[in-house]
Amino acid sequence: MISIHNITSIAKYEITTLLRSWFFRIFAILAIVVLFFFNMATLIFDGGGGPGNVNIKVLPSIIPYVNLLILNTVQAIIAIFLASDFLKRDKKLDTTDVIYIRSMSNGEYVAGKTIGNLVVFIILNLIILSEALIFNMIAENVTVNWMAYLEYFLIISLPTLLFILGLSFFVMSILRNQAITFILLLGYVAVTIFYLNTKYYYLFDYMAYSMPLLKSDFMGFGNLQAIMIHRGMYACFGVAFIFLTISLLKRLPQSPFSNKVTLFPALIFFAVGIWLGQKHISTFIRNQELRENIRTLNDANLETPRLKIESYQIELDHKGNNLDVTAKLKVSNSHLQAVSHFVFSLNPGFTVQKVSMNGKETSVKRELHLINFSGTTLEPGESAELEFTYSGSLNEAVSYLDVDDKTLQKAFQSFMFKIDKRSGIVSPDFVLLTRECNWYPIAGTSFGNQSKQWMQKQFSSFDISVKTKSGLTAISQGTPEQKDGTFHFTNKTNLSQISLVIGNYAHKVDTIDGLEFNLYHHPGHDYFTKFFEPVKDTIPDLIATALKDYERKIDMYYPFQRFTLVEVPAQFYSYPRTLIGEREQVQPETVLFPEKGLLIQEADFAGSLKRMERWGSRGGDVQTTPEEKKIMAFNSFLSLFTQASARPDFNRSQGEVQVEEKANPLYAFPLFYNHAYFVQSDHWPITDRIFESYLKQSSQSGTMGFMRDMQGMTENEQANLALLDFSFAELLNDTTKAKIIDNVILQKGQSLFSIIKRRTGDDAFDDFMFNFLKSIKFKGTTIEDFNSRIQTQFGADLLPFMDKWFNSKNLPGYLIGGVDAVNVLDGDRLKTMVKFKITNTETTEGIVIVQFRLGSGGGPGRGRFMGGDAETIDKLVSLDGKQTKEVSFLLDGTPRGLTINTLASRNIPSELRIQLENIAEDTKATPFEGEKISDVPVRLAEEGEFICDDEDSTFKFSQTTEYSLLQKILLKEVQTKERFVGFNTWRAPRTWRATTNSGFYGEFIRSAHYIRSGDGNKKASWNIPIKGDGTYEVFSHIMKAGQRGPRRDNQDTGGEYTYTVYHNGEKEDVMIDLKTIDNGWNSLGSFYFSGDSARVELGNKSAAQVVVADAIKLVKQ
Amino acid sequence: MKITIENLNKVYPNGNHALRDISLEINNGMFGLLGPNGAGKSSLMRILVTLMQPSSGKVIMNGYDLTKDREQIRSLLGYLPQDFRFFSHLKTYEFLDYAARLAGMKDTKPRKIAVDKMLEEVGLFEARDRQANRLSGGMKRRLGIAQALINEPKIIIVDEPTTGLDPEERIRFRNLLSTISTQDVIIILSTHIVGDISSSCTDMALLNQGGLAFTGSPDELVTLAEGKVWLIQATETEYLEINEKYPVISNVPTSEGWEIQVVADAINGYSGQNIAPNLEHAYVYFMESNLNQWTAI
Repeated sequence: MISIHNITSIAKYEITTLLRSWFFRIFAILAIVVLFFFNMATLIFDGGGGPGNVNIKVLPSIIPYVNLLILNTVQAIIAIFLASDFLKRDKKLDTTDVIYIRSMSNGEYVAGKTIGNLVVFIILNLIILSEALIFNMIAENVTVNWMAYLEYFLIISLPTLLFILGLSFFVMSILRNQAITFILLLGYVAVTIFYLNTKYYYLFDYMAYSMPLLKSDFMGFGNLQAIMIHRGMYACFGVAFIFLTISLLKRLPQSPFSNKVTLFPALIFFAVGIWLGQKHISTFIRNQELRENIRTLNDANLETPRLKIESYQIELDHKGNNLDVTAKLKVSNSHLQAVSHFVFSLNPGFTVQKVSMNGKETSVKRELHLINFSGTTLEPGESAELEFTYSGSLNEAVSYLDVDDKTLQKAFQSFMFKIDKRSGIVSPDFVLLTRECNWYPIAGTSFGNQSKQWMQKQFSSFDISVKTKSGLTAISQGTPEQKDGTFHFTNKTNLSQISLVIGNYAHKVDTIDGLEFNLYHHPGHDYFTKFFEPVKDTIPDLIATALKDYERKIDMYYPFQRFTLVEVPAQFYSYPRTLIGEREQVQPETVLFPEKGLLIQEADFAGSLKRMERWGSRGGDVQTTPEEKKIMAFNSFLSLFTQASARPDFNRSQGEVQVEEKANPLYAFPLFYNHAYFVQSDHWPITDRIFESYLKQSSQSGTMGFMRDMQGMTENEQANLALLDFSFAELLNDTTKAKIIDNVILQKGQSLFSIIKRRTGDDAFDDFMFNFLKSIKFKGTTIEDFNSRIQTQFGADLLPFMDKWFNSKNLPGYLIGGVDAVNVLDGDRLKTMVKFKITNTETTEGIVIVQFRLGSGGGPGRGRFMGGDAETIDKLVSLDGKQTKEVSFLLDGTPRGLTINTLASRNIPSELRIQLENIAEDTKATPFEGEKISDVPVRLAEEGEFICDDEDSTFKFSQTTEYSLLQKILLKEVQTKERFVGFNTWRAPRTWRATTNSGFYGEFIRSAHYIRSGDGNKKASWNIPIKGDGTYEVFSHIMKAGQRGPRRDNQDTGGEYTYTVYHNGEKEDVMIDLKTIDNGWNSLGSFYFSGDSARVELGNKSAAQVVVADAIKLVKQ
Repeated sequence: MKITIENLNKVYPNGNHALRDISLEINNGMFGLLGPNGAGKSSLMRILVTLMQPSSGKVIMNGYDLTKDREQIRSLLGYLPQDFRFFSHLKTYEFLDYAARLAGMKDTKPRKIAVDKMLEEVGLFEARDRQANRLSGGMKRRLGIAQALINEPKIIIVDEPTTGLDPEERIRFRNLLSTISTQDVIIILSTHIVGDISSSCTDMALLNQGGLAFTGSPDELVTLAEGKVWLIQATETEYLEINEKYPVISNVPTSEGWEIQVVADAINGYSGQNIAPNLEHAYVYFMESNLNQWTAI
């Protein structure tokens, strides 16, 4: 008989003891204090973005979630200590003996101790949750989600505690040494957090630290089953360990058998735990296998022809977790041969009940996701009516088959909470279906490693009726009609795909400039109507203006009659793809917007206002009225849809800030291009993306200078470097280069279109493109069709270039020299003439964009909300292989500088910025605009000049390996393998590292090596080859302060470089004062050199923060 | 109450043979366990209180087998270990309440009364709210006694209970035990202080190097030393010689030299007189003569 009395007695005094333990008290107080400040900072304080952190406040359930996450990390450590302490105490305390001799079973004893430990932590949890609740209640603009407080406690804390207590008891019972147990388990905690966290869908994440637990207001957790299995597994293991501890307790049992008796429950709980774990992994592995099998099956059907689907008529009945669908398709054979075997893809989560063809039931073979038709022949041009009846739910594993496992497993997180990634949702209260989840039959196969059929778009006519339970609204493309609880959508134009959302929605609609704008949001999520009330009459104008501006910018019209913004659960996620440009958030005429704008700063209107107020008051801004500020906030929100890149990801890893350029999934461009046009090529499947990228480029902002400074190279430059080593074709298949693939596509697209443009001329090509797109709207076409039109209109044949373009590893490389700007009189007007010479040293042709910056531009007042660009003039210069041109431009205004963007080239930096200062008047000069081909290429060194650049093999620098192990672990820089690093004066490298800048000297690569200044022991040396003994003047190339903007350069503060010149057996130190240098070559004096090379050294001793070693030039005298 | 010990052996994993073939019968009343340090007293006691498994042999307590019926045996026990100093963070009355609960006192009210009464008896009532860890050595000892006696155990096993107690406390403690021992209980008292046994025990055993050297009443042990205790008036030189040859129990300086008590079969060459032995003399005599030979065998 188990004595409850004994258990409660032990538990009672264990609780008393633990609550009095200083270790527990200190940690508990620490947790309470830390979370006090955390809640203060995230919920109450005005951190510049309105009160609190919008990412935490946006969904009230996040508050208990993050509080418990933080607490859990702390309590896992306390629990290990306290749990191991109980056995240590037992061993050490002589008073334990008098407890041990009492009549109670070992089970009662351990149970009492465990319950005691648990209760103490539950008390701590209650305190923390109450604290969070108080903050939650006093915080502005946030409600309380009561259930979440209980749910997160049960999901996060309880299983963690059971597991860690059990494990600690068990390990302590085995090792019998608290220190070792503590260290071992802390190690285990660290490994699970930092290494194993996301493996096998968070299998090892006992703390639920990485597990996605965000709760949506639309559908709750969404992954509740996975959560229960996972947490249940840890709870079972915990209990099993506790039972094992009973067996291992160093106390004679009450009866001779009782020690062994507890092994049975231990085994049972282990078995259940393992079963749950197995269930957890098997889902994961089964999905992985399914994905692999589907890819293989798709590749096996590589040659199966694809029918054209003319129309879809879909009837969908939503019942709980199930969908009953009847899809009637009108298909035709658009091929030149008869087709007797064809396939359709349908999510394998659906069971196909019936298929009929032309009204007759027909037998088909279902193989994973494929529905195989064989035995029926469709003659060329023949059409047929197919009807599919199927029901079931989604298997999301088949979405994003082109995305690799590593990317799939990467956590979707914000701040500290993790969000589940869903590609589609079918639940009793919410449904979200996009083409990616293949919820209606799609002609042909889906993604295969070879098969590219999946990304070929077909434009079909869609008609869909949806039945669902009352209270829910269905949203899809087309004109909606609601009758008898059925939602019916009809479309006037063909579409490439449709989406379906069913949920509890409030609907707002307005027609602006003939375009219907719909907004569907969760009834409880209207945080904007009141906010924009004062400016609500202006909003239609703002939308219309933003749309027109964007249309003008990309030179394309919005193709649909309607725009629908639908709020969807935060869990809805999409991946950027290599081969297709659109993201699943953007559907035809529809944008799926994350719940309450979670993680989207622009949707935090109140925060935007606060930020503006803060900045405004700083800048002494008193004129902007509150209404104007709200308008700005709205414009900022609209700009979210017209920006190609999202806010870059700033990661602080190992103390270094890492910046990753990120695409904006809500970028509306796919509405304008991808969902309306398609250029197909079986041979070069990437063609459509090239078109997309070409049309999109005008809307893409230039590279952010600060990112270049941080990363060392832009992603475009990295793309160029990659293109030197790999062909376009190779890069497209290299998943490790996924990060820069967009840049590669952009660069290659630019080079392809520049080839066309050179033959057609700019304006003529733009007109051609406009008409071409108009003719293929909602239809799509092939590259062959495009080519034949180009041929007809311009007589140019593009296709022969394509293969070379696709497979070559060559890039043009440019040398630029003789840059000169003078003011000349052109007639009676004073103009600025800018001349330079440019050589393409490679055999591949290329094109550069010369951009002049005019006027004052920039300056204060151009904040984030003001928009607008400085006035710029763009000119194109194209060069054949091995060609040199002298170019000259006449400009009405005075340029401040010019930028030569070398696009896809060997040049790094790919954008060369040249300052044009103190432009003098030259009345004698002949005004001229145009280009002349020259026979004399640009030369870097004249006769009698000998240059050694830091890119040359004769440039050496002292390699130091004086890093301690700790430094190696902690300092990112030591591990960085990048060829070029950013230029960072306040965190300069401790070894010589290469960095690039237009201001540095170099052939294609304008680089210099730089180092943190120090004792002078780290030296860089140039060995300059010379011809003949004699006196040479020695120059050092130094980029002058101000080239990079005053803040970042160290030369303002003065400082000096000390060069050592080795000449004729002697050495001489030359000191250069950075305050007095010229930009470029600076003389170090003349020296007599003999032999075949001269040596110059530069040490890192300087009063400046960094020392930069660029190039040395010797000029024979 | 009756405890029967048969051929009890304890061999530690390190080979130390702590108990050798102990056979004993312990009846109601106070039973003294005497022996030098390391004789095996604590091992025997730890076996009796179910903290340790014997290597072989059998112990029957009140009809229950020690290795099989621990549940029943434990409910009979009260135990005070030799070291009783380190407590977890509990107050005096909490610790005693904890012990009372585990000793089977389920009802709150009677338990509270019993705890308070016990605290009074051991003189700790004033200190009831003090942290047990902060009590003085003697008070801790008293708390130990209190927890051993709570809920009227039938078998009370106390290991070196009087160490650290001042004489007054010692007497009070002995009296307390004596009072209890008149009821149907067994009190086993292990000690190396002979006085503790002589004043209270009806029966006793003498342990040495794991073996049972003597068992019987204290008087029987004293009888063995009859005529073996000598009072000698010795000069300084003689004293040094005697000290070399015989165990000296006491020495008192006098005007002529020393008055010493010696335990020996005979004191050849010295003038002395036989005196009546007490338990202490008997213990020393026994350890010196018999056991030396015994161990030599």
